[in-house]
Amino acid sequence: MENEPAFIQRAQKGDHDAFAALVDEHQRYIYNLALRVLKDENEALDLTQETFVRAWTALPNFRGQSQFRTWLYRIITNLCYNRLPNLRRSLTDLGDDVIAEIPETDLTFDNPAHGFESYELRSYLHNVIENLDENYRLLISLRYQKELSYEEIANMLNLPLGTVKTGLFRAKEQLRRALERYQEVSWTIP
Amino acid sequence: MDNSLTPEKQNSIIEDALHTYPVASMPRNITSAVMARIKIIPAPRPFRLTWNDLVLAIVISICIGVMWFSIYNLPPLVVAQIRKESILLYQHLLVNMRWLIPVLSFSLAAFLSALTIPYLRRELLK
Repeated sequence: MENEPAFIQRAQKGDHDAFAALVDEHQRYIYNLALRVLKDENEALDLTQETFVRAWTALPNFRGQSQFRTWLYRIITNLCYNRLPNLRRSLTDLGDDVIAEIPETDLTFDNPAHGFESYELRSYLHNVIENLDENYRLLISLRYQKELSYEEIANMLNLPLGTVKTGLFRAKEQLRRALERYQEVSWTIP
Repeated sequence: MDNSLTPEKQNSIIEDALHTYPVASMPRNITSAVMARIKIIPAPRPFRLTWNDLVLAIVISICIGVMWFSIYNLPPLVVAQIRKESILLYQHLLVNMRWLIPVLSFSLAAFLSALTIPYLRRELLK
């Protein structure tokens, strides 16, 4: 969004039109995060609305230390915690003892089309992602759809950096196992 | 023939799936619903410190300072007088306590009873 800080300043002074523009701009991403975690369209819509209502009341406290969208993600994540009481525990239970030094993957990943044999395989993996536990879906969504760094995710979720890395590593391991199962099945079927 | 993928190839496929995981589209725009909800909430007021607040803070600080200074610089005779008066006041209170407690209790009961009068009057006029 061009000139977003100006819109935020106007909204902080009570300008409804400026805030409506911010809602227009960010609602899809906030909704997407809620949907990926909750897997329920109506609940995701409710929480998205609630996020913007809370953002409006808390707007004077927004100092711009983080991006506006990241601030909204923090609000929606807290609302998801309220809706799914086990989510926070499942995140902290991930621990950070598996691999502390996982290198951060490059988000400018450019996979060549020829490196991916089938569209079906991609859809299959997307389906596997959708059926991962909610804590993994949240981490994947923040990392790959919101393009936040490991540090940003750790700060946002108030988790140790190692826990975020471990969570994403485990999510990928589950995808790897699913991929191997897919290969076994596709090669045994003539 | 071994058809299994190398770990690099697996990584590549998984990264591709993660990067292409689609952002869900909104079933409907919620802007108007959000704006309808926030219109009933008063506009957020940013925290501002005014000159009035500053002057009030200075006056209160000076008063506290003056009180502190006075207490610690009173002549010993005046301090003794104040102590004597406070002891007398306390004794006076103890002597009259047997009247004070019933008076306070009855006053509170009367006050609470008086609060019910408008309600009872409305009920009677129905």
